[in-house]
Amino acid sequence: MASAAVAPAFKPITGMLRRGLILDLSIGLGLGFVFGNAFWYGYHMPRVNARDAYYRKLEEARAARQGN
Amino acid sequence: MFFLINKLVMNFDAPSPWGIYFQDSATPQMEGLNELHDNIMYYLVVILFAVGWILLSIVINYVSTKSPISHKYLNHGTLIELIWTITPAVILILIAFPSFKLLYLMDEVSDPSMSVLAEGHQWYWSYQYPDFLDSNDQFIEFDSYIVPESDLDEGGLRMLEVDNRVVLPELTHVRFIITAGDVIHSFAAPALGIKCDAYPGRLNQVSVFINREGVFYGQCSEICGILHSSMPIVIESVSLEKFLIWLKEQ
Repeated sequence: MASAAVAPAFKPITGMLRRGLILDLSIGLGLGFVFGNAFWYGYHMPRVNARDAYYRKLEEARAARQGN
Repeated sequence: MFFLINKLVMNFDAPSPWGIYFQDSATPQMEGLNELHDNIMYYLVVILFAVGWILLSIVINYVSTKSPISHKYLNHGTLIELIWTITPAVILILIAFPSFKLLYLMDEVSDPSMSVLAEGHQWYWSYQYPDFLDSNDQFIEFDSYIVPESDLDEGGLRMLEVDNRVVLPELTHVRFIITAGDVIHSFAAPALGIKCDAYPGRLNQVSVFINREGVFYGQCSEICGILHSSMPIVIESVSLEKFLIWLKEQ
């Protein structure tokens, strides 16, 4: 004898995984980009600028030596 | 923190104690390597934090005491498995392209103005300048041995100084031809971005264009025997005028 489907007493809890995944990815990638940018602008760029300034100075000194 | 790291990392043309970053570059190749490293490092930091956070979140949220039946529903997911397989593959391909580009650029030997032959021996390097003759009409050549600690001058670098340095002019395309007389060695100078294996009976070549004057230290980079650590490489880059004076003295 087939029994009729019984409606659940409360709405099933669905979509938690997807919501959690989106939240976790957002936080993880957000943190990643924050620290990645900190590395880039806090470490890489100052080194590149210092290097460029050094070679600029060197070029000026070379030009001055050659009397240009 | 970054200020501290800047102060701690190596900023010389030789290794420094506890150095964790590259030496200051002195050739276009090394500039390229630095740039590639920092570019990749940016994405590695992003990946590190993304993966780290998700791992932490999973450990906290799906611990058996908190979610006793999580295994019942979370044991398979085709979509997520596709995502975490394809995404790293795409990232690896994106890293591989600039890496190969740089590799092939570094492999080019662009019309050298002079060549230097470097030959590795157990346990010293010998050098020959085949473009120049000395006062006896012989090629300029010399051996380069480590200076032992007991004979170091004040300020000399332990295990890195040699009795005869390779002297090269700055802003000149130089080709190193590298070989070995006995076993496999490796000719390396980090600040110049060169590392090339030295094989007996085979000639390898690398090209350098040194941007500035300086003294660049390297070491044999292939285990070659008991005194492998005692055959350093010192390359001194000088102005063309000073190089000509040095040549005259040979």
